Amino acid sequence: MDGKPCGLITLIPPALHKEWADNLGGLARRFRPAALIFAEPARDVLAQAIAAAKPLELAVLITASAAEANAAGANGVYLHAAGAEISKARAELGSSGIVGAACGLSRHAAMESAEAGADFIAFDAPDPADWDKAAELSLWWDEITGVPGALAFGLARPSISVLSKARPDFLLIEESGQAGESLTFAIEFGLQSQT
Amino acid sequence: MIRPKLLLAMLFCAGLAVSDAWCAGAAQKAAQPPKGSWSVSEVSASGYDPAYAAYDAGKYETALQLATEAAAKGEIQANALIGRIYEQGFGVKKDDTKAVEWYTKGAVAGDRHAQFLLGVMLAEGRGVKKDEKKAADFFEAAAQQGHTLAAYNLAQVYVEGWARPQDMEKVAYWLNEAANRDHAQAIYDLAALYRNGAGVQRDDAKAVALFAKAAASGHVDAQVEYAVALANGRGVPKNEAAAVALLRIAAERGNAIAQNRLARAYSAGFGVPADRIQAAKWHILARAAGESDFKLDLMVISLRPDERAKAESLAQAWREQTAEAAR
Repeated sequence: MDGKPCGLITLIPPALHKEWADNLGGLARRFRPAALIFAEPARDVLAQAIAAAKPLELAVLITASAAEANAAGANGVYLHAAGAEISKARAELGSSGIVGAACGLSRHAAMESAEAGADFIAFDAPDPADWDKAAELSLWWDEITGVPGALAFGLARPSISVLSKARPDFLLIEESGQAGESLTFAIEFGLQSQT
Repeated sequence: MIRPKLLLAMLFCAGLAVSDAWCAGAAQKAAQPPKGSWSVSEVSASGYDPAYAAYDAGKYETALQLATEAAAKGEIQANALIGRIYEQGFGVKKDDTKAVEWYTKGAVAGDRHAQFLLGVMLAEGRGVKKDEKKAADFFEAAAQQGHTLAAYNLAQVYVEGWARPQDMEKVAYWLNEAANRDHAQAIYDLAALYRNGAGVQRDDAKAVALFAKAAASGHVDAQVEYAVALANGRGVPKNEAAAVALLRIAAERGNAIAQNRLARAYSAGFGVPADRIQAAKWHILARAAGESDFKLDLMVISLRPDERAKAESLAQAWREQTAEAAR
């Protein structure tokens, strides 16, 4: 990854929540993501996952409101939003909460989110046709701002050559088939396992 | 639940180049006798003991000769010293079996130091067949006579449930005995019992007061616990500045949890002016020691290259100073 450390953020769809919650410790031993994001989680399985992640000091974010994150004891939120919504989440979570902003392929959304207090932003590129654009945005972001940036991918994932030139701080990988597939990807791509 | 520290007191004692008498004294400052009087043995309570004075001075052959003469005259505290000299191999060939023989003489005669040391040998199976039940019995005999480390070890026996059934009320009792004689680890463990309501009625205020006491005696984990209580105003009036001061002490001593919490304090401007470089310095150190904190990771990533280099440089300087101080 061009000498720059790049960590992993794992986005977990509802179908894999239980599998992750049941095996979180073992999965994290294989490769340690910087954070887990539970998409639209059910309360009980989220509570189980948070309880498993806490002793590992592994951050758990959710794609829901800051109020729900606070109520569940999650570390923060990952929102497809910008501007005022990010400011609101920041205010509700306080300075210790984590706010991530999914910005699509929009420079404007990224700038707005960063100004509104996002801890990190992510450029999404679910379609391979957008990879070059996402990589270009990621490199631009790396050059103009200190706010950490992620490149988000789904089932289709680009080659390492695409990623190397993008200089993201994190790859944000959405799993789809089975719990832990993002970890295998991270190991193969030489991402940085967190302590 | 307090962490099992069964062998801590034993190892602590065995690791010192002094006898059981001083070992007890090392853990119970208030009860420590004047040097040379060899402590707490009723026989030598009157003060000067030439055998121990010689031992203190590093004259081990003289100490052995004087102690042997004293033992022959029925001075029971001499047995433990002779045993200690053989156990450590000071001026004689190291011989655990002989050490156990002398400890046994003293223990049977009722000397609590000999009882404690014999308990350690039995627990570890050195110079004698390992026998945890007998070890517990001798710890109890010594503890009943006010031996601090024996009381602490006996508490560990009841925590572990080895040799005797697990009994948290007895754990609390014996920890309290050791804590009353200023055994810092016992104070810390007892605080944990009060916080968790194990073996005692849950009492947050008492737990915090005990953490404060252990912290004041230099117990680093207690410093972190008490700092957190001060920061949150839990069981004690909130005092952010005092919390940060205590975290700094523990962080400087290399405690990774304290380092990370200090980083958070600097990052948030909590109890100290916000300083991203200091925050990054302490987080880098904590992270290297295994502490994870995504929020601080993000903060470090967000630093400008010159800020990051400065933080790395400060962290490296801290490592070098710490290594130098350890030499």
